[in-house]
Amino acid sequence: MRTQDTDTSSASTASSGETVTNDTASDPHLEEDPVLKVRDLKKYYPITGGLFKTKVGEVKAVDGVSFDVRRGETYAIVGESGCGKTTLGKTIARLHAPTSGTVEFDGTDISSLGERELKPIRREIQVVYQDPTSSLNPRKRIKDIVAEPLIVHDIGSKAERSERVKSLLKRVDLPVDFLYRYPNELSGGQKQRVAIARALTLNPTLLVLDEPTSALDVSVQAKVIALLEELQRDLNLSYLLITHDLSLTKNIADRIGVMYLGKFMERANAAELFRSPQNPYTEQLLSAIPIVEQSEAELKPEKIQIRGETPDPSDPPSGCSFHPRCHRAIDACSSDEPSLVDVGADHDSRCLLHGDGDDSSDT
Amino acid sequence: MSDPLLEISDLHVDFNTYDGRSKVINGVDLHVDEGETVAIVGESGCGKSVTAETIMSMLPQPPGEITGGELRYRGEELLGDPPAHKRVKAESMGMIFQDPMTSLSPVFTVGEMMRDVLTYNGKTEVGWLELGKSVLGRRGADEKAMRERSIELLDRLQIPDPEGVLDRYPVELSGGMRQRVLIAMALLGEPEFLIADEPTTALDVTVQDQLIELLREQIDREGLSMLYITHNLGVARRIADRIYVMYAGEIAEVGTRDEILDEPLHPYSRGLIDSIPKLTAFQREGIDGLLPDYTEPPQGCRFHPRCPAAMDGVCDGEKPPLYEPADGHQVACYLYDDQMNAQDALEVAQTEIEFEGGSLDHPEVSSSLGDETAAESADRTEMNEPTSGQTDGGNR
Repeated sequence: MRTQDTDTSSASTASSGETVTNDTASDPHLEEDPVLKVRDLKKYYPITGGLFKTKVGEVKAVDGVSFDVRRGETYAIVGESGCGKTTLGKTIARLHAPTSGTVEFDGTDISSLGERELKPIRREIQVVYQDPTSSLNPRKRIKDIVAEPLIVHDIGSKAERSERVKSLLKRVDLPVDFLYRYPNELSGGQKQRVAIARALTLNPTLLVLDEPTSALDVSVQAKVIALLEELQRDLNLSYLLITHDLSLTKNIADRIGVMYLGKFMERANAAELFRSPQNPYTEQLLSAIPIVEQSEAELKPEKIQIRGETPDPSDPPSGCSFHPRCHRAIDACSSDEPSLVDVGADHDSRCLLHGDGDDSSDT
Repeated sequence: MSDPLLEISDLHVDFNTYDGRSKVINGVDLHVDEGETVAIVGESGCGKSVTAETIMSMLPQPPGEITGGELRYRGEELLGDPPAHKRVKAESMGMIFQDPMTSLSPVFTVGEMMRDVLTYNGKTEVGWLELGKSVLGRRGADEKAMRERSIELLDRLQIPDPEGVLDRYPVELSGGMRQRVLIAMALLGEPEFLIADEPTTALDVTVQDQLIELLREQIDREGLSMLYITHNLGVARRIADRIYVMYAGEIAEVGTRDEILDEPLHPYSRGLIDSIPKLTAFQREGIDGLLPDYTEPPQGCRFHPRCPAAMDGVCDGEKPPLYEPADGHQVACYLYDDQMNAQDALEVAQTEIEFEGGSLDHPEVSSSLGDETAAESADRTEMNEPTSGQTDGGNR
């Protein structure tokens, strides 16, 4: 299924000759009327220095990312800290302007819209952040926090708003008497529910969930996840889930993109990714998951000796950015940049070891 | 069995707060044998760190107050004898903290900090004379030996270019490297007992993996004993021989790693383990309710208000004693009794303890949801099945 996007040209930018042929264009991830269509998205931050704050370099936080989020699905972006996953989420929600590339939401390219044109889009894409303590205004009551989006978008009368807020609180299983409380009177899980209610106020289509449960204890996390899943089913929401918890994505994501230094290393549907990870980075991530129950051990790749840490994103390694830590690295890895190559149905991976992309699973 | 290296019995710690007196640690018994790694697991606020602080005599007093109990190190009682506590701590204990950025001073180089550790190691008091001496004239020979010792340790912790790292400031190092430096500093004094308070929590999984491996190596190599505090049960599995599950300042269950993680008996342990997203499965039920208010903790078992198997008139009476269905596997729960063997106990656990995803945080709410209730509760009970026919549209 070929898409008529401009993906191929720039996604494989600096890569040396041979791997360009079969790039992301034939990507089965990119298809059928998705709710969100991200193509070759880049977000660079300038590094300034010197007397006149001239630009001396840049951090490629997001460097040519393409993927689709289908309606009603959960697409998870996983990666270590500093890999650019949060920047990606914020750029998609247009809290940042992208450096280049397109973000198509419901068929409209929102990557270059101005604030005024963005306003209706903002109703459709909402964000839930990691730490509810810092994302809720401590000086506002819960009812004002949840009603704020309605006021900003000038929707409804006062009575209607208050009605809506009440029904939202019910929706996220909070008692109505929380309306008059302040965030500091609530527990972490309850605060995160308020944050979710606020995100739902405008009936969004897509929620960007940036580590929605990593600040919570596990017994609370389980309930918040259950709530998110229930809301997704009932309201037909699409989720872009940004997380570092692989075990969590295995359980709730439909498809997963594994990110490293601003690029996808591997994309696949969740079951496939865990069953047969193709990229060495994914292998390492999976092998590093600390397991709780003995029975989990069988579902993990063999123990891999892991080296090093995420390099400085302002000065990424040459060739494949992962090669200094890779347990399968070959000589070519330090000079040639791999591109995403098909390795199965709905599954691609960025590694030179996959060859030129005419892999086993080709049609 | 030999005498334990460290033994805590019936520890009680209170905190005086504006809301009243919080009874945070309520009768904790714990022991660490020679050469053993023991983990304390529990959620935030359960008292794990307070326990560690008590052992390291770092508990801020006030507001903290040790109201009862004993802490013995090699048989020597320490809580009633602060000078002895200080001496033992200086001579034999080392501590690894959670956050390397706040535990390392940003204004000294790694080398300077390590040198200080070596200079003052094992001393409980440093006189002015000594201080002046080491500030003014560090003896060349000493200096060199210390540097070599630091390099050796950094090298053992697989820090690339240890000599260069000595001259760098913590900000110049990555998170994993900082944590390694912190571990190296804890090992510098050649302790025989280490306390690690969530040392890998701030790190990525791949780095965490490397660090646990390293720590394990060092422990085995030196034959150290360790008390490892974590909320991550996966990490506990990697590193611990025995695990204590702590809830609201009490030990809920203790046993070997496999006993606790694969065959937990206490309802809290079961709920906790079930709530963790695992590769095999993930129960979305969680545990109802919240950690109790320490100023007015529930009567009896502190877990009973959240417990699905709570028995009226039993669990809210007296604090449950520790029953021991298998040797060393103890559980503080009235579901069990001393006559049970391991098999019976496990059967009881499997039949009696059932977490239901009926209500979320607030039991009283779900019943007032009106017309949505039926569809929703149906949803939750079938949470694990992908049948998602109920698109009632909610409030769209």
